[in-house]
Amino acid sequence: MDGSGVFFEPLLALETMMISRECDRREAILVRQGKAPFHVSSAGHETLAVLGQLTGPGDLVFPHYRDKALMLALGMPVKDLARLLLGKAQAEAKGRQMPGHFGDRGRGVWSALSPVAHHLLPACGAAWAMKRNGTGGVALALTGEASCRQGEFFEAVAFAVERRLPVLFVVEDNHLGISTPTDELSPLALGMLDGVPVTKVDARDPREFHDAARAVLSGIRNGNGPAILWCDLDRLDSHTSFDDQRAYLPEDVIRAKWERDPIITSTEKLVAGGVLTEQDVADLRQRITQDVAKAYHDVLDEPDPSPGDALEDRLGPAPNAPQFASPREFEAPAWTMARAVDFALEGIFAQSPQCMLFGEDVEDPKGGVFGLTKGLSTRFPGRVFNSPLAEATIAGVAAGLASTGPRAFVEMQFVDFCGPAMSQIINNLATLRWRSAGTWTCPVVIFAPCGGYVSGAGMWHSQSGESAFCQIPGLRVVVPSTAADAVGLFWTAAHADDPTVILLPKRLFRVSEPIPKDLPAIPFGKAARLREGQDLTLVCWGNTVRIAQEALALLDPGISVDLFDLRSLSPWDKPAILASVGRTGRLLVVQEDNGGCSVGQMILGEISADPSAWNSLKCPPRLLSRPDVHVGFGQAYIDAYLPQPQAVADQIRDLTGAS
Amino acid sequence: MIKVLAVPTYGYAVEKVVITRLLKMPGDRITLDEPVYELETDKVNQEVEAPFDGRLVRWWVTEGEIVPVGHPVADVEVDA
Repeated sequence: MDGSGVFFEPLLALETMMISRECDRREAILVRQGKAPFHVSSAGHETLAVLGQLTGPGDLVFPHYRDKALMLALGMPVKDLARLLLGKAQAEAKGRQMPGHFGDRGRGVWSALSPVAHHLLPACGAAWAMKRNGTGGVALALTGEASCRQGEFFEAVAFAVERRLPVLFVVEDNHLGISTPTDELSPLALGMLDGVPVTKVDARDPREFHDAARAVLSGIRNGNGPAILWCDLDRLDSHTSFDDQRAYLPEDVIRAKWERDPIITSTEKLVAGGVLTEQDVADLRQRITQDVAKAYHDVLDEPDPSPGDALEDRLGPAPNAPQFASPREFEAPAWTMARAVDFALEGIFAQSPQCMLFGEDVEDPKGGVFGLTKGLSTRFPGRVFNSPLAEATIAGVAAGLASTGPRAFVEMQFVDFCGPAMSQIINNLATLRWRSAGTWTCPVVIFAPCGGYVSGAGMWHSQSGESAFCQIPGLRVVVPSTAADAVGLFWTAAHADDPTVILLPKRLFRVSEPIPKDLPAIPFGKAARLREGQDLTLVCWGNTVRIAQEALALLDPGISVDLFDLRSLSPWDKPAILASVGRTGRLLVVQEDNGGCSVGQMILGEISADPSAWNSLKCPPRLLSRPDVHVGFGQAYIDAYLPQPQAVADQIRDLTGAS
Repeated sequence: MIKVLAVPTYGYAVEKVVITRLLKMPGDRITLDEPVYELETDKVNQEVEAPFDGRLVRWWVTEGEIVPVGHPVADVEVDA
């Protein structure tokens, strides 16, 4: 539908608005009664409900936290709002999400999150998937005007315009960011929205709002690209139940807002027009009050989630990937890791037509600054795309793509540049499954060159970065140290239903090594035992695998070392390391990342805290890592602060008494 | 069964409230959602509704008293 044949239904709108208002009144009472801990009101934003008359099954809504009325208009039962307020087990999010953080997959509502404007790039990703599939759907991304000063907003609008995406940005301008007046702060006021059509509308009047939204939506459905609907309205209540607007707004300002209350003015119009009588309105209000009270009170008696429920939905089941399906015969006897990654992606894309790839410079002829994606855009046209130079866009769009359809592979040019993407990774990619209790998932594969031991790189092209990712629940983190393992780990990640971060030691992009004919999938959480021994357990990953092997070459060949390449850092192969330490009684972890709060420290902590290992330890376990310092540009700094073979050998001698 | 009404929580910052008006006498019936007393914080002046049906047994506070959030306000005999 293009919406042009839809007519405004004033009674439906008014009733929905009234139900929403009554839900807010009821929720405030429940907070005062000590039955609910927190409440966020939609009062004054109820006209947004009209969008429910203009959307259909192919559309997706990325809601703002004041969209209670819109949720009702989309068919969400009052009881679901009550479940959200009360954190009940039967809420779609099983009580994990705050009130106002709507989500309803069945009704096309993406799971909301607190960091403002962070749903806008995912909305663009979803719209991109819709456009590619020709579904005719629109992504409706609703947000407050204060949040429009986030970089996320500007990146989302830019991306939607760049790709002419079917996105309707609905800005609910209530003129306040909590207590801060925004009339002189918004991008509209600052004149920064020239590149996108903006329709300003008085959203206190449902009919006027309906007509404006219908026209804008119709244009988007006809392929005109994104648009902004800038809605002038009032936040009638305080920001939340934790706030009181009387502390920062004069009484007459608050009174003036209530005098413009859209429910009162709509009701008066319908009564004046003879559509409703005063008695009808009174009857309607009474029925709604009773129904809402009953719904909330019924839900009060529903079971709460059990605390153990929180441990579910962090990750889906471990993927059980078959043998790597080689896209073609290959003869090359030796490959670099870069070549292996390219080959793995080719195999994945040949097998799974749904996969997409997105990142800086990934298209041919460049094929990635390290050539990781060379040839892919040529072989798979329409599936491999250069991104703008904007990492938040890469991650946020990927979240939208992957959660609504195509599995997204994204290249971050260097792990060092993930900073701008971290908010999307931490807040969206890693939490989507958990916060929606498994309703939405986010199968994104992020791959990023990492690490030092290369000259000419400096501190922003030498970082390891793994510890930061490993701290985030909801991500899997792997670091291959061989070309074959890179293929196997990409292959497994391509079969996972959750985000995977694959860090690729760029030093190995120039190292050729023999590649086996058969390339097995490498399961997550499974270390490779590279050498068996009795005197010491040596744990490393990524670049330090070779450093450790070079160290062993410096030592007496008689030394007996149990050498492990972890390959997978989250999850990690604790059973294998525990069993080994049980045999050797000595543990040395060698990592390239700096020590503070690192994976190496975590391993030492976990092993030392395990009673079985503790009893067999012959000496304190040890970590050799970069100290808490950045990697400088000069070679002297690289040699001094990254673990070197000689230092590893010295540690082994010191721990075992070997020569 | 006797249940205790307690001063509601108002965000992270409000520590104490003033009990401004008691709207019921001991022995009075109170019904769910009916205002039973008023309080004032540094920002809010508000009626507080009964969380259940019952009979007011006793007040633990007096008008004008300053009490912390969570402080007992009244005992209510809850309808069986």
